[in-house]
Amino acid sequence: MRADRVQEMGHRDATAEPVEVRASHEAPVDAAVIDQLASITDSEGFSVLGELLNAFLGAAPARLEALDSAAAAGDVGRVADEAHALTGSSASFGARGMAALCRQLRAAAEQGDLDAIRPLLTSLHAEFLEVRATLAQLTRRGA
Amino acid sequence: MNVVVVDDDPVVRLVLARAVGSLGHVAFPAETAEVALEHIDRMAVDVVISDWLMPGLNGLELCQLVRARDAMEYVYFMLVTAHDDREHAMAGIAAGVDDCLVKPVDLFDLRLRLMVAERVTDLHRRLAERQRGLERTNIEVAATARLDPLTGLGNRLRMNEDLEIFRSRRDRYHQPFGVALFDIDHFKSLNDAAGHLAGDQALRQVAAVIRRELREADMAYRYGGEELLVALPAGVRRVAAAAERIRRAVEAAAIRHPGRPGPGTVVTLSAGVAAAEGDVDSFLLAADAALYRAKSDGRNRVVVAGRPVAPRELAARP
Repeated sequence: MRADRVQEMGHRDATAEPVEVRASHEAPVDAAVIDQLASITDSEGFSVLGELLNAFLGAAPARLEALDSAAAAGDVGRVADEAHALTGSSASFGARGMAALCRQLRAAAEQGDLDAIRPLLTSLHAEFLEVRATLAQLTRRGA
Repeated sequence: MNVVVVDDDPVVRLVLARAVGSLGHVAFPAETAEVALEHIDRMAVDVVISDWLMPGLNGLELCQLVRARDAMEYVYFMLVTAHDDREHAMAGIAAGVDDCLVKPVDLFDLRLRLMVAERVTDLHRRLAERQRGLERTNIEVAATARLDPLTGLGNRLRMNEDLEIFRSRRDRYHQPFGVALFDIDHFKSLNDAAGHLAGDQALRQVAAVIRRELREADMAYRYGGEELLVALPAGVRRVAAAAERIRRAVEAAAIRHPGRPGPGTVVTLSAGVAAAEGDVDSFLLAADAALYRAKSDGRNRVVVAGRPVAPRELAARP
């Protein structure tokens, strides 16, 4: 339900006002998703949440950098690909706002709309910082 | 279950693989559909969970390739699609996908779907086992139905089938063949004197001698009663020579014949030999007529259809 709302919102914003996407009351990370991820254990019964978060937080900056350079080079095809990849991983960690921004980025890239891409990228960078901070908070709380 | 997790994104792949492992299954991560296929070819894979959009082959194409494989083991295929992607989900199911998961994959949902997958693959496994059992039984039944239980030679059904095969090979490849029809001499008096069990025993012994005298490409059948038929992929002279060899071997085996009149007390054979010309019925008839002549000429001899052949003449040929 919440995902639907974010998506709808995303689509509306993509056509109208592309910057501030996430509603202020929406948390950067869905805590319920992190709770689910925390229930994943290895064969000895230990939670693998740390490993999963490290994988996401380790890979995302490289994706963002790749998005920046692709946008700077005007390579909309690569922007679309990288945005698609980041949609999947951010959604897997409950970062719905981030995922919605990525979807908009991809849609803009597929339309070759470089003007829409730049502000979306700025928002995405900011959103990722919030996501990272929230994830750090959530895991501290959980630990 | 062995579960192959296919996603080009390493983070998503890791989350799914860890989730699958956490549910008690063995996860095999694959970064492309091609790598997934290698897993599937190498080992028994129960489930594939595949992303739709990937560089190289996509999830749907992977599913089609998995379905096209000629394997008895069923692979349960789960496709991961975006949550608003009903078209792809529909196309996937139509193409042989068993289940669609929505991105991002809800772990509780995944757990339920894998329980269903386990039930379905288990059912397929049991079906495949039953199928294999049935096929084995069919082969056994088909072989038993073509065997004469007393002599262990082929029965009339087997003979009819084989002769048709030999005949078509003769017509197509000009491979000659001939038949020798044997009959135990004075078999009725053997039965009358010593009982049917002794008659059966004599038949079994004669069949064993014939089998010993034949080569691999030669075939022997119980034609009916005390009549046995041998088919050889050779010209009529060689068939006649083989028949003579068998006649002598049976005589030399010295199988007791309690009901036989005259000085001889052993089982002997008469034989009618014919080249396999024309249709099956006509050359069997020719062999039968030659056998009749062998009987009327005094038994314990081989007669070739159309002309009498003296044992001496046969022995001179290799």
